[in-house]
Amino acid sequence: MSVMKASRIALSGAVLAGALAFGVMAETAAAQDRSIKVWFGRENFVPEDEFAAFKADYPDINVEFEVIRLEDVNAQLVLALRSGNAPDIVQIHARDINQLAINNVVKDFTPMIEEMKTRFPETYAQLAPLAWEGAADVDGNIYGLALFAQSIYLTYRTDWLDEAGIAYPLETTDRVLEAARVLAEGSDDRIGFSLIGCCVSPTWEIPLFLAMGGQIVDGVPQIDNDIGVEWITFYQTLMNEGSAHADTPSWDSGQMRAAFIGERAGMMNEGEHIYVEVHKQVPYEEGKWAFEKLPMRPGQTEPHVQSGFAFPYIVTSANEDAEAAMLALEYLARPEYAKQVAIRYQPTTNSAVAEDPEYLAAKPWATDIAPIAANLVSLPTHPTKAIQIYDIMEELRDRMVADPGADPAALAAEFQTKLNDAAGL
Amino acid sequence: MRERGGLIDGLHYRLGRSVLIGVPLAILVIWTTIPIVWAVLASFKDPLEIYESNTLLPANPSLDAYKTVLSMRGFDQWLFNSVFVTVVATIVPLAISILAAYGFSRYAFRFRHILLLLYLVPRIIPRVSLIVPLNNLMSDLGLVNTYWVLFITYTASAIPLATWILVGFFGSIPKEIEESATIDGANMWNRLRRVILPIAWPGVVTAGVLCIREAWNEFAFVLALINETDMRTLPYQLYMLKDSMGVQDYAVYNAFTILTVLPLLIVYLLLERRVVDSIVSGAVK
Repeated sequence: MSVMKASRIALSGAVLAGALAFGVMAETAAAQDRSIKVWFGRENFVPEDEFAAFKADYPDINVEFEVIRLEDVNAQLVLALRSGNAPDIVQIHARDINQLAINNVVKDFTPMIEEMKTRFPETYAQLAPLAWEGAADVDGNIYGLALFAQSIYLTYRTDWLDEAGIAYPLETTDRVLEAARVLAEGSDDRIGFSLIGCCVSPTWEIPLFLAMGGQIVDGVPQIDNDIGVEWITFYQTLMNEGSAHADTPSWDSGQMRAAFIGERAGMMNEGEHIYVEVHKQVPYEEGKWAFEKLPMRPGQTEPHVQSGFAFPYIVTSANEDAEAAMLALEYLARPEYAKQVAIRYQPTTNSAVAEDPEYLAAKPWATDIAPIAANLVSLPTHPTKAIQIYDIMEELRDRMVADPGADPAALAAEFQTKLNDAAGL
Repeated sequence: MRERGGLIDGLHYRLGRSVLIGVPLAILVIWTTIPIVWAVLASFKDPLEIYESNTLLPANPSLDAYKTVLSMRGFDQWLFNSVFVTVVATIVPLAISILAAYGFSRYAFRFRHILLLLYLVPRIIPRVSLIVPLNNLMSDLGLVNTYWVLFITYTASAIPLATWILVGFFGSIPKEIEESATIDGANMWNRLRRVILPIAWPGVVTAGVLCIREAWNEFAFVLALINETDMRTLPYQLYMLKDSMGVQDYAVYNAFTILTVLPLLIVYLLLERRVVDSIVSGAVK
């Protein structure tokens, strides 16, 4: 072989290799020309395979994800929209949907949800109504998918109640107060009822207000009435009778939970996701703790409301590839991924998970809680002033715990004025 | 007898002086170190023990919290970001501030004092009130979520501080020393490099330490101008650990705090010696 021929072959080979490499690169680039960015509200919501299965199913869609705290997400979303790197899907507090919708930060995804129903009927059929209600505004426009939602339940140590001779379920606030007092009196180092006194939103207190027959009208809690006064008195009584810890005014949700998990408190109002931690410390199967719906007022004639609140995945106005967003939502909603989160964290609205043996083994209380959770009502919120109203309710919660001697009627009147002012009434 | 009385008086005086100096000093030391000691010991505790126990010492000391922090996905990236941003946001402001301070302290130009006062404005305005305009500006410039946005904001925030410190140090150096150097043929650059800076070295180190501290601990700007996980700094991630929806793991929280503070503490300890050495050598000269 002449030198000339060899060099021609080498040159042809190099050109061919170059063309192949270019082709591969071009194909890779073409394969990645669709992309979707997701913001999760907590690390715990991220699927374990980090979208590996999604990428296998849809190799032309690249997925990026970040964890942005639910507490910060609104501000960060606005910032990201301004700077042009907003996510396609963002996890938020359900209470903020209306406000974000009014400001055109989120995208009406109703048509794509209809498409999901057609293309993925199996996944769609598994989702409970709260999955859509928790991701919709007051007009019923759906902005995404509320795959995880929780409620607050009255949680207590049954073994301690047995010891004290108190029958349960307790069902009404007067019996809860009595039980808390007896538990606290029974031992020097026991807390009757573990409460929150500061630093977190009134997520635990508003559901009790609703359970006690309270009303939220157009997003504004109506506390300046007998029900509101009784609700305030409930918390004040826990403090006044020494049923709650004296340091409660400085307690956040962590301290409240730790008191119960650490077997120092006999009762608390808490969401099911914390039962995962309680179960690690005191296995549910031992029958030492139980839960029931939030208590009503004695003699209550208003219907009991067990409210729930969701952490929906919402499609933002930055999304340009609606199909990719829908596919990502469908992937997140698949039972295998929803189950992972539900086992370690928040309960899911995918009803298929509730029957999964692995889930039932991990959460032995699931079957007991299902009847209570079956009829959750979405916590009503104000369309534009939800955050301000929550701030006022948080201030009220702090006051009724820190100042249990205050006149509850005066507190109710004072804070009703603040709530009305915030809502522009 | 009189000698004995004098001895007793001397003892009383020394005792009184020790009490007057020692007691406030002891209170100050306890006041400043107890939170750090608490954080260190809490980082060795079980998460629930922190809530339950009132004692400082952990019942079963464990390094689990540190293992958790060090195995966090992204910890090395956040550490790198903090170091990188801090190095840049220390060297650049120092370089600019040295030149600015030299100009302010050595040249009598018009409006010098007013300009020096205006230098302080960025420090006087509350940082939070700067966030929205900065946010808009940086968004328009396309710098959000880049190192540049941190370099620019951190540098801009450190320059007034460093300049004011250095103006004081440079101003205290007798002009005669510089004039001697001028007679020996030194130009402005040589005077600054070979005369002013060696004498004012403690000031430069002090300004540097404060720049490092500012950049390392900065939180408001990074929170407002960064939203990508890989671009976070350690203080930002520390804030992200706060979780109102679960049981706050204060052991991990404290371990993260200690690991965040540790590099800064080492820098402080290393540079403190340099400052003292510089002061001492300056005194001997």
